[in-house]
Amino acid sequence: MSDELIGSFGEAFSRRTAFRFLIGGSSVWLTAGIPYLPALQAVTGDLQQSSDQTVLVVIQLTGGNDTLNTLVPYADDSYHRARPVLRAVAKDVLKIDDYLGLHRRMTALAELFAQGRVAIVQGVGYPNSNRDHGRAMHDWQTGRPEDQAAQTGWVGRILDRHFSEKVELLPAIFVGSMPLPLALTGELSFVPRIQRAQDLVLPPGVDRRLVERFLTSFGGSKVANNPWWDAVRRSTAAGLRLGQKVQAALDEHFAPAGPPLRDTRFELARRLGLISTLIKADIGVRIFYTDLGGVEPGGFDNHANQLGNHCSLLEELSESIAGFFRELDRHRLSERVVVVTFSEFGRTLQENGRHGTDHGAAQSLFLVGGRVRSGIFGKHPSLSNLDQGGLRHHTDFRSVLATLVEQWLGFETGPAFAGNFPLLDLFRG
Amino acid sequence: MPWEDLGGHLAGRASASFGARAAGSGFEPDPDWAWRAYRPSESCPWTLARAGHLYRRLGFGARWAELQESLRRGPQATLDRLLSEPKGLAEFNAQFDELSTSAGQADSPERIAAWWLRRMLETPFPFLEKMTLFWHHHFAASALRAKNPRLFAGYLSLLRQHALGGFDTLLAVLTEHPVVLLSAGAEANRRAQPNLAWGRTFLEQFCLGPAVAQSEEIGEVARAWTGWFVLNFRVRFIPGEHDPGPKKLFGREGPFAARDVLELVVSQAATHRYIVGKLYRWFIADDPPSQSLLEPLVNQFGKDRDIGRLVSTMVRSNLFFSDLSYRRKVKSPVDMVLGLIRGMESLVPTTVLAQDLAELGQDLSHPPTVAGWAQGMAWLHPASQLQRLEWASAFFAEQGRYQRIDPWEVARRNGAEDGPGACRWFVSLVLQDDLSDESRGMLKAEMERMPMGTAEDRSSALRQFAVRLTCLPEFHLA
Repeated sequence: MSDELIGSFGEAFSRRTAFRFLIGGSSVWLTAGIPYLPALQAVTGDLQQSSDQTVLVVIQLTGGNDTLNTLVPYADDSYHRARPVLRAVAKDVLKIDDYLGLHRRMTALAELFAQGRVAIVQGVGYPNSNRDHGRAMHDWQTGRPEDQAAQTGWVGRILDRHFSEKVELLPAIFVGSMPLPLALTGELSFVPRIQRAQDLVLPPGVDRRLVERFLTSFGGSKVANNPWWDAVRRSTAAGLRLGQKVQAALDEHFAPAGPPLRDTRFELARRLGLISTLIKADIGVRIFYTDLGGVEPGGFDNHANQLGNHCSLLEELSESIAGFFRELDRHRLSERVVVVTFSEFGRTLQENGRHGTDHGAAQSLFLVGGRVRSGIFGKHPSLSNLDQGGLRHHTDFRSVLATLVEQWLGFETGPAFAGNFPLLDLFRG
Repeated sequence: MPWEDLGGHLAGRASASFGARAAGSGFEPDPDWAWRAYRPSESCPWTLARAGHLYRRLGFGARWAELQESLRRGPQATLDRLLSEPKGLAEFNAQFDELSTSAGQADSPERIAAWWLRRMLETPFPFLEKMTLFWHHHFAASALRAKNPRLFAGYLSLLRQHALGGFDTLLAVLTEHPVVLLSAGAEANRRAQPNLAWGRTFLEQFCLGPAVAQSEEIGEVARAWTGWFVLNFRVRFIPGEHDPGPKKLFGREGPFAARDVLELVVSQAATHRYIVGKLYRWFIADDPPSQSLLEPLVNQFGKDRDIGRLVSTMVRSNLFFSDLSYRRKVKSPVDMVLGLIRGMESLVPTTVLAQDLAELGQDLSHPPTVAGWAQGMAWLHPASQLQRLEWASAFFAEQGRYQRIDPWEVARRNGAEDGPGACRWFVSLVLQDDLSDESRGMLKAEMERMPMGTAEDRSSALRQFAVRLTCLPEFHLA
């Protein structure tokens, strides 16, 4: 067969595969239509410009957070009657209004609230909510409680819709040590799990310039019509840029001026510190996901002797978020970042005989930063009209998440949540 | 072999015949040509590159001696050897079954993955493990979702047992395995509430492929499965929960039960197309094939549903050895790491390897969904390439989690006499000398910069050189 025939075959084939495989992928590839000639420009096209993009940081509180002792209805007699041991009395809470106050160990979060940077949505849950840790976590993470066999998460489906096959983009990262949470699982996309910023830089001893030159060296060989070779090349080029940017952010982070978040007493603070570095690195990540409380059943599951453990967790949460925003403030990035916390369920109003609480239903969600409209959203659920001992929800959790997806991140909510969930007015213009 | 000569013997490969014919707007390989058994020819000779291709696809890469022997004996003998069960396999697998399920070994998903990786590395029949991994992609059960590692080990051994047999048996056995049902969220199939999700998974993931089944059919399959439950990790049939009423499926009507559905679905042409298409992607290319190209195989598979025979036709074919297949797949993490490990003729701690693979995106005990891993482009993102390079650096490092690997020592054992010779050997082993002249020149320049005077220098130079090779995009193609 002559070279000419190979050329024309390759052309036809590449165009065909381009249309089948790369819709929404590289526009170079789509519009080429001629034998593909990789060029240096194509290699440098990379991670999305992100300097004006919004970022969502999800903190999963594993185990079922007792939001009644996080945001305390201190003025409600029913609360005090139900919790003779665990209750926080009026003088011990950080008062928000004449009914609610934050747990006394959350001074840092209270300060953020006072600064007008925290929104708390009360009474969040879903119909027929599950009280099994695994099941309830499944419901929250898939965003599809009605589909017990759902295999993908609400974030994963957004990534599948908007980012699959965009090999040069890194839209989401999980920071933590547990297996990848279901929320991030998609069918077509993969979210990396990162524990240290060093995971995202070029390993020492690998010469970036050499790799760059490899990427532009194809010498008229077979690879010229190979979309897979090109995809490896594009993702590697983007990887090099990623590594450079993260390295630069790290260098700055550890510059003599002193590292922020020096207080690494808290694992969550360390993780949020890493996230702040990655936001600073400007690598185009839109969604960060991390956890406090680990794997099922989780640190928030306090059926006995709740007080000490829960206090420490709340302090870690509060101090870590505050440290995170101090760091973002320093770099004027706070306006671009929203933190949201969630747990698989709230807990029962009534404390049990072992100085703990049991699995409940509705909870309060905390949103911090960005342009959140500060304040308390929704009525506090009644403490007399309960759902098997837990609070009744009035706001579906998917309304909150859909608001974040659509109004904060700017993605359509369809792929994430099936059904019509009214959006909330959580953001300033 | 002088450096300048590297790749010289590949010249013929560049003009491999496609048996192409004009077909309307574009060229299509001729299906008759495509599936005919490959015979080396002037335009498509038997080369080191093709031997490497064969070992990557049918197994997990080649050792140097295997490549050499394969070059000597030719493609037919190599294929025969790779595809047929070697003597001693039964004993090998029995021994591994016993070891891997002995006290404490099957208690965590990580350990099961580690044992499987060890089996992949040590088995005398890598092809069987490659097929087991294929079916794990297909049925995609998860130890994490099933919450029972030991059962998961049993599932893997069933996949292995039926990987090359009849599809009918494989499907029947796997769809009544508790781990598969638990992973698919099908542990309860009540008469009052047929499990539509299971109906969909069964038809769309396991049999017909996506977007074929009508929603009525999904409902009827769900009804046929009513009565089946997983209770305490055992599959039980509760007659009172079964809906014995008439059901309509694929143009037939009757009081179908699960067993009847299995019989009906395996004779559907869509099932044959779906399985053939998936195997095409696994063995031939990530590029989607045309229906007409697959037609002969679909017909063959439709008649006997013999998995082993189908795969044998595929990998013995002209198409398999053509440029439509060569390097037209993205290496999975498993492909990438095992290829290097086999080439280095070394044993590695596979528990560490299993963890590393999870970081690289392929946790063997936990496929992301019941649809398995997405493959192709889905393996690639900016972080994946950094992670892959990090892994290669760690693998070849003198200190660290894989510290026993010494590429210079392996090169020397395989006949390299000096540092440059070892580097050239490495290019032949890992890339079968198939890289662009520019990349070759750059590697040569790198090599010349490295001090190689002492044994220590050579050892260190080889480590660095090996990592550089993994930076080439070509290396990440299967």
